[in-house]
Amino acid sequence: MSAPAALRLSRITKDFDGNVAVSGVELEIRVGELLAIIGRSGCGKSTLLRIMAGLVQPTRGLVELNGKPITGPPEDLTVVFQEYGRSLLPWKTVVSNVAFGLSASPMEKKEKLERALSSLDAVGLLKQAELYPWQLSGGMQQRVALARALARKSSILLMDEPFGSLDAQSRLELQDELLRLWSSFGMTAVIVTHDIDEAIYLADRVCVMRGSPGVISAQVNIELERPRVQVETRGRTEFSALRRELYEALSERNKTPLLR
Amino acid sequence: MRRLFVMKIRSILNTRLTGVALIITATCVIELLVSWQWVDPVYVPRPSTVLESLAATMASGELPTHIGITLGRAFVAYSIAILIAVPFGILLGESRIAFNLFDPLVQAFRPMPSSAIIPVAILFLGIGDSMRLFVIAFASVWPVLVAAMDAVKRVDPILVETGRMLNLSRRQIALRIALPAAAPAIATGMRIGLAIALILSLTVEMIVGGDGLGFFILDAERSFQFARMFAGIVAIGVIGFLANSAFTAFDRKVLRWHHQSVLRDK
Repeated sequence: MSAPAALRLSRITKDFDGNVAVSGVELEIRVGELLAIIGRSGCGKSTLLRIMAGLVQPTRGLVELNGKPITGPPEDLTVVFQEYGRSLLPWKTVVSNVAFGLSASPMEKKEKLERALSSLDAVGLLKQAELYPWQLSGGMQQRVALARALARKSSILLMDEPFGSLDAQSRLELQDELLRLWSSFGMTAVIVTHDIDEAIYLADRVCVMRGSPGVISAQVNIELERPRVQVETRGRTEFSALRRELYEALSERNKTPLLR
Repeated sequence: MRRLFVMKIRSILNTRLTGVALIITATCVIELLVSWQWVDPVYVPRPSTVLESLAATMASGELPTHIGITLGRAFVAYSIAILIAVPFGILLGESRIAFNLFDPLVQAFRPMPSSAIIPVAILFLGIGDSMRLFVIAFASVWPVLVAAMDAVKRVDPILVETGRMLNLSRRQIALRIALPAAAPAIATGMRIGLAIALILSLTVEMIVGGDGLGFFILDAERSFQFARMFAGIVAIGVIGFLANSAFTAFDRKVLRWHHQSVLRDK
């Protein structure tokens, strides 16, 4: 544990009326780290992310951000939801949507707009600033959600299945885009996904979640060199070894074996 | 040749002109039926006589005065209804506590025929303008209130969560997220409320009398001036059509984002 903890989860349990979604999770997210959480659908990984974001109160346990316990959504943290398209306001233009991320800040309107434009520039959507979200493709909507997160200049970015509903090509492009933004903005990022390859490609560390109740069953450090390049990185022998390790960690008994 | 003809007919049927043509045709048929005395001309005056009467009462300023009074009352009461129904509906949609407290009351009042409260209103408020405004506002509050309440309840939870994540206060979430998101559904309730306001404005005038288009029509009927009566009824039809068109134009302008995004989704 070299870098200090940005987020620390201690003994987190979430009980939805007797249905235990998350049980006794201990997790430290280090400053500047890119952490991926993988697990099957319904294993509680989205709930865990919402607890980190202060959107859901844990039944038991403590979430600390930079050493201080959180009770609601902190200012220094931004979430990109799985349903990113639905998280954009359809009555606002792209640039207003991005500036809307700064609604709670005392900044002047003009300054908010400038920040929104520079974030849109960072994700390559400056030309689409005056369009409405529903005029954009899924990939572009995702970039708008990303730009809104960047405009806030939060030190922590949480993403829930960010590329799940995109076509394969946009998915790869946005993964690289994310890596580029993450390294240039120096953020701490947590990404929840069910895609093992995506988790390996992006992350410094992958946590494996098992469901009912949701627990973190394994953690794997990813020591692939950066910058990572789609075809080359994925083609390395270490990559396949990691994939194998994570498949093993994820697979359950009495299911069709994916490995021999 | 024949195909071309069919296509031409079809392209005409696809325009809104057909609706106008239907009205004109029906009017001509009635005109003929009456002039051939197939229906009793005492009770059903010729459409041409009705139009003459309409022109005369419009020119004399008699009908415009009554129309103005009816519309003025409907508009004032409707505005009051909206000012009450929209905020209150949002509150009921937003707050579980307010909903539990008031929803049974709303559900009890809502299905009540609005004309049934006229006697009660007369008892407490007399037969002056305040009673009339109260009755009209009372009737048109419900569709708007219920639409606002349901619309706020149905706001995408992801949008609300986004607001919380962006550190907005509860009030900011209500005003900057829930209200605009609910606006299209609220507008639908407002359109129904507008029709009800016009109907009640006329109903009250028919029951209580004095002035207004409702009074004009009933008064003509009671003095056996049936052409005048029908002239008033035609005026109502035209007003209803214009009011709806005006509302639609307003709706398309203010909620352009909604109509365009809906069109795209289809």
